[in-house]
Amino acid sequence: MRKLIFFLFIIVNVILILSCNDQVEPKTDFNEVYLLNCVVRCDTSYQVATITRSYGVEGYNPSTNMNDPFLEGAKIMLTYDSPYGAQVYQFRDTSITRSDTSRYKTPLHFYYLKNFQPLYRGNIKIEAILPNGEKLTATTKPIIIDQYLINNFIQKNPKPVYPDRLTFDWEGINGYCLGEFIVKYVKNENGNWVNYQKVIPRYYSMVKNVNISVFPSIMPVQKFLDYDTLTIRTALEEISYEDPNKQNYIILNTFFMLNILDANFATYIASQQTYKDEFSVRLTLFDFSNLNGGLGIFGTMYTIKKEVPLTNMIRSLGYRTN
Amino acid sequence: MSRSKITITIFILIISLVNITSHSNAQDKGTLRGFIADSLSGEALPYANVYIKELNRGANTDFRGYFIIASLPSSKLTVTISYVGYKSQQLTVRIEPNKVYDVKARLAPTNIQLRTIETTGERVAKENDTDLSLQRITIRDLENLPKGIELDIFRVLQTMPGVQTGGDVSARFYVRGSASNENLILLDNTPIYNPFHAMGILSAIDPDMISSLEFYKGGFPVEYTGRLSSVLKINTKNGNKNSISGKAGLSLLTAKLFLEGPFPGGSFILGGRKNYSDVVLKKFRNDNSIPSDFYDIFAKINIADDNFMKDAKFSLSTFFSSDKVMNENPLLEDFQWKNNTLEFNYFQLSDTPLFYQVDISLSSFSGERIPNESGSKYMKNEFNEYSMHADFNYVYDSKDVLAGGIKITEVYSYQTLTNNIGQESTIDLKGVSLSAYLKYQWLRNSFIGSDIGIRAHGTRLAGGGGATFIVEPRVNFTLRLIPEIALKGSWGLFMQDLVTISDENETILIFEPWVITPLYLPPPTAIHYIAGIEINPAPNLSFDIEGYYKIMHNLAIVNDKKFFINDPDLIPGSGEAYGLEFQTKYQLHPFNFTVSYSWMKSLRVVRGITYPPRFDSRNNVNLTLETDLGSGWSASAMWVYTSGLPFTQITGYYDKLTPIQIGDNPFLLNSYSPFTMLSATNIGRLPDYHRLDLSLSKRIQINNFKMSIDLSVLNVYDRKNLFYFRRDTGERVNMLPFFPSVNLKVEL
Repeated sequence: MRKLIFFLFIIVNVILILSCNDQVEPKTDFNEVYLLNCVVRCDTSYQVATITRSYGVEGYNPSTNMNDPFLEGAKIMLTYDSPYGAQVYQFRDTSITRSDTSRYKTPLHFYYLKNFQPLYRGNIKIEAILPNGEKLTATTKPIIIDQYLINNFIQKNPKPVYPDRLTFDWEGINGYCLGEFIVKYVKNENGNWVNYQKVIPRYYSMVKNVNISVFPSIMPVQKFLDYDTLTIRTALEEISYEDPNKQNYIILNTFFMLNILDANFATYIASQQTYKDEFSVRLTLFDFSNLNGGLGIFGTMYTIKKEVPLTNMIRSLGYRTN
Repeated sequence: MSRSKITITIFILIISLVNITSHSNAQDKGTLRGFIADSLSGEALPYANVYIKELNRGANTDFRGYFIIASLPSSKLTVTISYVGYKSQQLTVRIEPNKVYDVKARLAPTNIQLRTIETTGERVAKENDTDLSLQRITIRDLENLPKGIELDIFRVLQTMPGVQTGGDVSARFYVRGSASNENLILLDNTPIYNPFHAMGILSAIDPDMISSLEFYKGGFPVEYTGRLSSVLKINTKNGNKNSISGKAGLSLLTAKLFLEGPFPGGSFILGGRKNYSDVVLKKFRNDNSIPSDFYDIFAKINIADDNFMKDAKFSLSTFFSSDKVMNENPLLEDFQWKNNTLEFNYFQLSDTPLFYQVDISLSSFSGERIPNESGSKYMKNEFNEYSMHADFNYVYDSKDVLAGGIKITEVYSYQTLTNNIGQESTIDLKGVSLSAYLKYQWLRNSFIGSDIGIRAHGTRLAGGGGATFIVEPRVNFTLRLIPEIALKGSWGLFMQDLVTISDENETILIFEPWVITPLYLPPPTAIHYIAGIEINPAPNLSFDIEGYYKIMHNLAIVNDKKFFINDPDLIPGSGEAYGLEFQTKYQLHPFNFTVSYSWMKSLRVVRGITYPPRFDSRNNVNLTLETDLGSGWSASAMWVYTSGLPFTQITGYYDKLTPIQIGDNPFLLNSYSPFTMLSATNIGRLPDYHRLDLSLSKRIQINNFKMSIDLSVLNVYDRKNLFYFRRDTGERVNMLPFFPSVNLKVEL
């Protein structure tokens, strides 16, 4: 009997030990990495760059980090292979007050150039030397759009032609295109006019009794975007949803923007397209970067903006126009 | 002359030489051939023992219930036929020179309450079998194991050394460091491509339609081709030839019904299974709903009527499985997938020790991911394989065996994908493969057996070029030094011309889309080197030790950096795996005790970076204890231990530029959100997995009425085995907790 009790005692103890939860350690040693972000806008001469660093937090919520990761004091040089030889530009260091101070209270440090607009298809190289001596480099190509194509954007025969659809057509413009149809408006809030903007969805999709807005994604091949006028009307109605006083709203302007991205920036945007799927928990994360020596993105883009007058529709909804 | 041609020429010369010597040895010898079946149902008894007392020789029946013993002296011999759970039978046969003596024996099942274990002749039969890395399992072997939610053949395989589990949440299995898509799963002779229900938690093959399993963990013989790692051959039942009988089963997850009975000239079997609740499924994922709906159906007709065609057997079978995962939330995606097989088989014995078969089959799979508004990408996979093969097997008087066959397969694969920048692409491939094999088994000496085979394979013969010719030579041998000890070895080259577009970095593989290897990649190949030793110091004690090294080339890896339409969907990778396996079995009536341990290491090399794949579990231990308590009661316990699987750890965070609107927005100044930085792939290890399951079963038999009740307790000590943790919250998502389960089965 003693042997049996001893035997049972051992078994119970082994089971108790085994049933203990092993602690999993999702984190390993912190890795300090620097990031450079710069997307050259080829339709303007004002360019911006930022440099940040990685950080660690207690727990798993990175939003708890309150230490400003934006770096000042770096030297950023931009070299452009123009037909007239290599042109070198140096970014200036500055800061602005943050509009959102929920995480970081300090001013936002960034770098800018006021006099660089690429007009030719030469390589653009960026090089950032950090205060600690580390170097980040990357190369890309500018987006150059023929003025004729810009002038004829939209006016070319739209297709498909439907009376109840608004079509934007950019035949001849190559690259990774992302369309954005925007309504800018102000709303009277206790006597103050507050600026807002609404992006009109590509269409609304009724899935399982829920109406969902679907926005355009990057299109490498398709050369047009069309919007159902009912979709535009629905989006405009949403601006003042459940507000009977429509005169509190002034629609400032409505316009379509065609953004043409280089391959680096298009890939960067595309790599962020994650989705909600409770079954597909990924063990890895997409993190595209074309930076050498760190992370971030160095790309180029060109934006073509076209006003889209919708005065009749706006007034029919009771809104004021500018 | 190419290396392939030289290999084939040498092989044919060897076969010719051996054939000459085989015939010269044929002198006044006869052959005993037979078929062993259940006396009540007429169902074939696979792997039954046949033992000739006077010669101390024997054989096992094959999965069809047939056996053949060649090179017997002309005399009167006493043959003992035995099978676990059946009364042994003794026959007297008179062997005549140059003749085949046919035996048809029907064994009567013992009463459940008085069941005994008989293994007469088994050791003799295994003298020179070239069966390295092969496990033969009958459905009776599985009956006493803890059944879990319900008995699942894939779960049973995971108790074998060298077979890694996908955890409680997946019935997928990983053999000797290879991915799950490198396992060939044959339903009779038809490959089946995604045989899983409920997102992989359960196998789609209902054990009640199975007669036996043959599982090669590696080094499989040349009659099997098309996969790099392992072969699981599921042999289905033929049905009751003597009377109509039915079977109904109920578990906490599914309800099922089977009907079998005589058919003019043969028998039929028809059965189906359907889930009715997701209560159990929730337990697999921290009580999160799994809106899964599935069913499977199996039907088979057999005709074996000597009046119609002597010694011939025809069978026609079909299998269908369907799964749907339909979420109510439109922000979540839906899935649906189906398997369908249809097979016709003609099997013929001849007056000589020759049998041959012709098999025509269709296997199709279709799967779809419907994104709804989840933001995921639409995906559709359709896969159809039409196959015909003819095989023969001839036993020489010397006991040597010559086997061969040809196979022609036409495959159509269609896959739509949407890449990360929203561009839809389609892989639409059609291909024909043609192959032929020849195998010679040298079995004339009782202390040595060898199996030399070669298969010449032409694949992607149609479908826009890219035809590839591959020769697959394979060698297996057994050297029995003394009756108690055998050394075994195997070497071979293996190729796989069908691959999956599945991402191993998804924690749950709902289904794997199959395609023909795209033309920009050569078909994956592997070389296996296996050595083993089998020790049987006593009739009730055995030890098996096997070591292996496997090298893999041109593995098709999903390109996780496919951002543009011209980027390939798959990129080539390579890999290697090696390990050591140990298994011992001990029988001391009424106990059966099995211990197995394996150590393995698996590595992948992709884009020049070496990492362990997510199924690289280094240490595995399985302990199984079964006991027959008498009076229809039996009990079993199983403890499984797996050392931690690899995962990728967090190294920090950064504020990532995440612009949503870019045209009229200074996004470089205001569009940042926190992002997780990861370490090198899979350098961390999850906690170890272990679980104890207990089972108590009672079988009741009153005349033809049989009933069984199985009570199981899964994860007895409520081990919190980790499935994954959420990176955003650090929350643990655990697998199956302590869970009692019950299975009820009624047979009439």
